[in-house]
Amino acid sequence: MDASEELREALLNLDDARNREALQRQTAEALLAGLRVLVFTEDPQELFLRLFDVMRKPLDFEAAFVLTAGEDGSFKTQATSDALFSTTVWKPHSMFRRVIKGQPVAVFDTELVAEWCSQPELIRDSVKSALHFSIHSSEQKALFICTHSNRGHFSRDHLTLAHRFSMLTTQALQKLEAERKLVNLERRLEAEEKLATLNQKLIESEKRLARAKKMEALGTLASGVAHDLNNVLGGIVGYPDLLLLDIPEDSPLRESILAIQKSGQRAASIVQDLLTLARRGVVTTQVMNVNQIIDSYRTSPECQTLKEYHPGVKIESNLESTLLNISGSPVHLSKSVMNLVSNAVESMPDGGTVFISTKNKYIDRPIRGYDTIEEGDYVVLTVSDTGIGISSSDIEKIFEPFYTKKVMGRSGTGLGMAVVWGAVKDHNGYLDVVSTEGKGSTFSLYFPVTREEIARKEDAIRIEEYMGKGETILVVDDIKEQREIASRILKKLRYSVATASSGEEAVDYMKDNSADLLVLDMIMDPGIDGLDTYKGILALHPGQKAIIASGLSETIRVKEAQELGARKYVKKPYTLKKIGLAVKQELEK
Amino acid sequence: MKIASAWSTKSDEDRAATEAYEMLLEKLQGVPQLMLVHCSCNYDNEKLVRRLCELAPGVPLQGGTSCLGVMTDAGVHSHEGRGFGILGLHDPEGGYGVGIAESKGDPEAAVTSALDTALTNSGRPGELPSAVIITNYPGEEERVIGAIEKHLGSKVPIIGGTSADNDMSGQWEQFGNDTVCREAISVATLFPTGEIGYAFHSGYEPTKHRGIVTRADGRVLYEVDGRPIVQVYNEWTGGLLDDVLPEGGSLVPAASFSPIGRHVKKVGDISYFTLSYPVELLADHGLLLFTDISEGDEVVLMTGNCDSLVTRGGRVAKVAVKAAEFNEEEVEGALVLYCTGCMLSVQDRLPEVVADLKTGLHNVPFLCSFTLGEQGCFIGGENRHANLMIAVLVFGPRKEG
Repeated sequence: MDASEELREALLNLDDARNREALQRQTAEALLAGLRVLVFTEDPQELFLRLFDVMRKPLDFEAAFVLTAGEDGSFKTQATSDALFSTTVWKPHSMFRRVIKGQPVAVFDTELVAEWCSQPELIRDSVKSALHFSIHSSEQKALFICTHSNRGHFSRDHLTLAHRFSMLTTQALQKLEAERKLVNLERRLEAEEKLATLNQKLIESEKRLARAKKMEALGTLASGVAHDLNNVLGGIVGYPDLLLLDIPEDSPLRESILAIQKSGQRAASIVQDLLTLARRGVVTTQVMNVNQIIDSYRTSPECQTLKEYHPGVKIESNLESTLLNISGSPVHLSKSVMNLVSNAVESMPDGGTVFISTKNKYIDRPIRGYDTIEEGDYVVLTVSDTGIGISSSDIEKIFEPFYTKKVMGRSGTGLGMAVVWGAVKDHNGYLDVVSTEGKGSTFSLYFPVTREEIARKEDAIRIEEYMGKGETILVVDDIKEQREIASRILKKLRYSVATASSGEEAVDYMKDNSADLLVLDMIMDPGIDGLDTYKGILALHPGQKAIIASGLSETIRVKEAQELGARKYVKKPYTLKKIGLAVKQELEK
Repeated sequence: MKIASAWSTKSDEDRAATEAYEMLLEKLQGVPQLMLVHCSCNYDNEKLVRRLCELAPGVPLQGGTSCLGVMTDAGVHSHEGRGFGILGLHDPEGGYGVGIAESKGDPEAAVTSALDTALTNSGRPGELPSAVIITNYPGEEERVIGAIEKHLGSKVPIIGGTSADNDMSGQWEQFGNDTVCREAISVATLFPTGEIGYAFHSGYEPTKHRGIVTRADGRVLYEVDGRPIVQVYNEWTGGLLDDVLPEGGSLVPAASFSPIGRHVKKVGDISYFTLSYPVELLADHGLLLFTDISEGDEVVLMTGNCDSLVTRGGRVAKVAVKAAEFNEEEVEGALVLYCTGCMLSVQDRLPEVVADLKTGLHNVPFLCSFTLGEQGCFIGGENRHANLMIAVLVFGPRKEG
């Protein structure tokens, strides 16, 4: 061969290689731009749109879209650069099937191809030639389609380029799928997390329920004991009043009788603790301010005595000046404060500071602590100390009756914290405890606020004001001592008194007799209780006046009796004043 | 894809067809999906094609006559001016179809019709084929290429040849399936599962002699730069026309080394050309070419020699293989269209041409037809009809990834 001819051909080949290289470079640049899109596009919905932009120039298309196969085998638009194709549905024929198998296809005349012939007229008018290639996806069949309005627009070169770009589109599709999977996974994890939270809540609820049941059982036990004790105490607390009325002011017996009465009252106080614990002893109707309770306590002899016993301990307070009122029992709240402070002081054998504080607090979402504190307005009473703290194993049990770390009999009864728990629950409140061994403990008591104002203090009432005028009263009580003390007090107050030892006996009595007022014990066992007794008597004497007496708190049956007409409720043990006032007010109604 | 070549030089058409087809089946180990058939015009080609269709019913068949015989990877197949070859493609997953239509004075309509038939028979109507193979009758090749490009777009490679007879007496024929015609266009559309490569080269180089056509009519060139072509061409060639002056006469094969070149395009600083074979000096002293020529065309005297004609087949094959997407050693087979004029000039050295082709094609099966004009696709993607050219189409596997 002629050397110049060979050289000439070599130059042509070289130039051809240059052209190819330039084309490859352009393709590589477009691929690189596409990769950037893949890497840096966070919104999966934008991914294909940006890829379309990158591929538009090298592939020279007017519109592009991605189709994915559905379960019925038809293809639907996943992404498109032109709204014209956004809702298309494609039934695959032989051309699509070949493309899916991996053979890219350029169509020079869409009117001759089955897939395109089945498209709406608007699309057929707009597209005359098209490129089709498959996108490899592990999960679904997908096609990438580029279109042009000119017939015969695409060439083999476009197909070759499309083959190169299929890598990008495959990656984009896989990214979309991965995003979808991630979203599904996140949803599943979220659901599992919710389930775990619910499980945790359930466990905590079960724990609280178990705790409540335990307290309930202990309360029931305490309640039974308290009821019996209350009956026994009735005489000890009530008779001194009567005796004191009958003996001269200078009688040497007066001091002894007063001592008996005081002991009885102390015993009654223990009973009240038990009843509080049983959650059946608080009448939560009195509007009060916790700050006053704390102030009273801090100036009380009990507090002074405590400080004297523990000179190394300081008691400080920080009370919110605008503290809202709560509705409840000042006696029980005072006891709670006393018990908390007493425990705090005793937890600091080497001295320290007890800090009492109050504040108003709005809880906008439930807080999970020792209790789950529901949303609402609360007055929060906090007693904290710098003492020895409570171990995590003990903290679960500290509110149980008779659970104490102290030496029994030396200080306390083992009911202190149980009383606190009962009092809080009776006030529809919540408790929280935070404690670190060696650093101290903080007890927070949450009480629902009331917007009511504190009632003005009643003036002292003289006995003359509740003396009777010979009205007839039937005392119904199954306990003999209770009947007798009530009968004697009422007679002393100049009433004419009859008694019945059961509900049935009372009803029988009233068949042939009448009474201006009934004093009905609510719980009588065996036999019908106070309510049924009242109902039976009402059937005989409509409008019969009555008062209810019980050692326990107001129950649903007490309330029902009150609704029937026995509005006054006297809490045992009887005192002259309590029963006298109740009888007088009911008779004058 | 599997490709095999087969041949026969038997004079009896039935025996020749049977021999070649049995050879093909044995090599392919399966029924072909396309048969490219080229044979000399001294066969009863209707009989030969009919027999092949009986042997391979339903298999698309495309081709035409070739001057004096054919070449394959097994050598030159020409016995007393008779020879016949088949290139068979076994590619069940591919799509192949053939159509043929008689020109009847409208080659554009004929080729469009043949093309649509081929696409439909491929099972791919409306789809762009990887390549189109055509066999033309002499005279309308440019119009045929234009019509195909108009129908499919300009970027589908068209490879083919103008069917030749043995003595330029007009015995050429075109084959399409079971049809044999004298003045038709036969088209095969190819949708192979693999890749293709192609090349279209002249192997000639331009001389310093050049000018602008100032008078031409169809394929007859009369004046360059306002001077009679007979003077211009005789000057440029140093008296090549002296032997046929003043009456005129055939220039085949005398003009084989001095064709007229026309600039197609520049690649960088290098021009490449289509060649026009001056086949005859007419009595009116017009120079009859085997391609169209237009006033305003720049023409260049091209030059070649016997050695370059012998070796260029292999070089063009190499270029085609290099141009393909697959690796060179993966080439599976090839169709070669080789200019009859060139063949006649190097007739006694054809075994060297075969050897070079085999080297360039890595010893894979090929079929080479000798044509009166070649149609092919240049480096820049331009489909052209030209003379004294070699067109090569190679097949290979699909490039993955």
